Amino acid sequence: MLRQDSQKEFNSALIAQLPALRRYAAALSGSVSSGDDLVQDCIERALKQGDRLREQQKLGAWLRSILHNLYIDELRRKRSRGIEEDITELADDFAISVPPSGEASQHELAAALGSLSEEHRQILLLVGLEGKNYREIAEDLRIPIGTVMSRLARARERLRFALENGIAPRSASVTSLDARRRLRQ
Amino acid sequence: MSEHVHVPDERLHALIDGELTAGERADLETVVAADPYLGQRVALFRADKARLAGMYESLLEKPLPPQWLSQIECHRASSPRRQLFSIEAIAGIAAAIMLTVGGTLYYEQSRPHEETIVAEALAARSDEYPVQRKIAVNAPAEGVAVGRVLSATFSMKLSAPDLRRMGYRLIGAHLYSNVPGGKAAELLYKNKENRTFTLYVRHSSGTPRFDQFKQGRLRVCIWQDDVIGAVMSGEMSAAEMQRLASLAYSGLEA
Repeated sequence: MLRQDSQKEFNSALIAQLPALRRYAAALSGSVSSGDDLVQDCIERALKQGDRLREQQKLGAWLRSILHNLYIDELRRKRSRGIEEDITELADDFAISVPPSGEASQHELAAALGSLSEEHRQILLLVGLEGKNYREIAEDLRIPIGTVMSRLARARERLRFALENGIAPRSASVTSLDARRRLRQ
Repeated sequence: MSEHVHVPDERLHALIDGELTAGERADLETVVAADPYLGQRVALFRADKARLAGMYESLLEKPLPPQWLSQIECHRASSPRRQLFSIEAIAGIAAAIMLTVGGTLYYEQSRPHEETIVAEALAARSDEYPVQRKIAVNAPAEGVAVGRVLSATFSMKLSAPDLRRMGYRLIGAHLYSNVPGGKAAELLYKNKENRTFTLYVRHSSGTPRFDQFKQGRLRVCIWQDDVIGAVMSGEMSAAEMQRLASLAYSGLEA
């Protein structure tokens, strides 16, 4: 457990990171509600493991890493249950997950993003949404800069292909499953 | 056979992301400008990147769910595990219940209205309230004295946050004794471009809160725990406000 002063500082820094983390989670999972669930779990884990963070300025990357792991765990859990998905419904799920103020192009973007692998979605969001440079991404993901560059190039190519061809999400995702469940309730 | 110049995709994306040196960028931009195919690819990728940057942007200004803030606040209050059911523990719980009940009754009678803190802060920033005391700060070391004044005003240990890491220096403080929320203080900061950042502080209205919004060109961040309420304002991006707010809020209790 952190000392009381350090804990206060950590808590303040954590709160300040939450709006950006919330946006990242929504974009990663494809919906605000699924993203919020992820952030809630992420807060819980971060509070438990705060003493493992060595550099406070790395808090944002550390939180994204926790959140990404939680997201992957959730995906695996849902996939292992073997729920069948109707691909036509998935596109709708992504569409309703985008805030109503978003334009049609934002819906298409969310759907196209949802069709990519988690790895590609992650790198696109780190560059496009978080504004990270290649060096920062390489450090955060612990991969060589060359891998960042090639992965990003492939991810952008696939995103463009999905946008041009109206590709819907390729597989079950946290977003789609949660959204369908909510719709049925 | 294709006539366009072959440029590796990684290099095109490095151009889009500003990862090339000035010379490399100039060379590649010349190549791209001369090749319609490459020009179109770069334009499309740039547009996709810009659309991604705007995704879920409204979430940055949406209030955070109160349960998140409570979760973090509760963790702040946590302490090493005590032995259950000892005489001391039971006595402590009883005392805590009495204090909580008494404190709640007192608090309900004395708590300032929830929404007024934002209106107060903006009115103070616009010089609409009479200032009880003005303090000018001419050197960074004088921030310590401002901290003492804050501590005396609010009867708790407070400091004037040092925001020089973010390019803002403390230039003064205004104390108010008769705003709707009771006593309040406004700390004024300036950066090199003469932009003003204000930190308005007073006792909390009780509801944990963290959110920010934009009013005209002014970005406003409200950060409140169960003890202190703070409203920060300045002309800046959401990301800059987030960093400043974090530094300012933690600096209040440093």
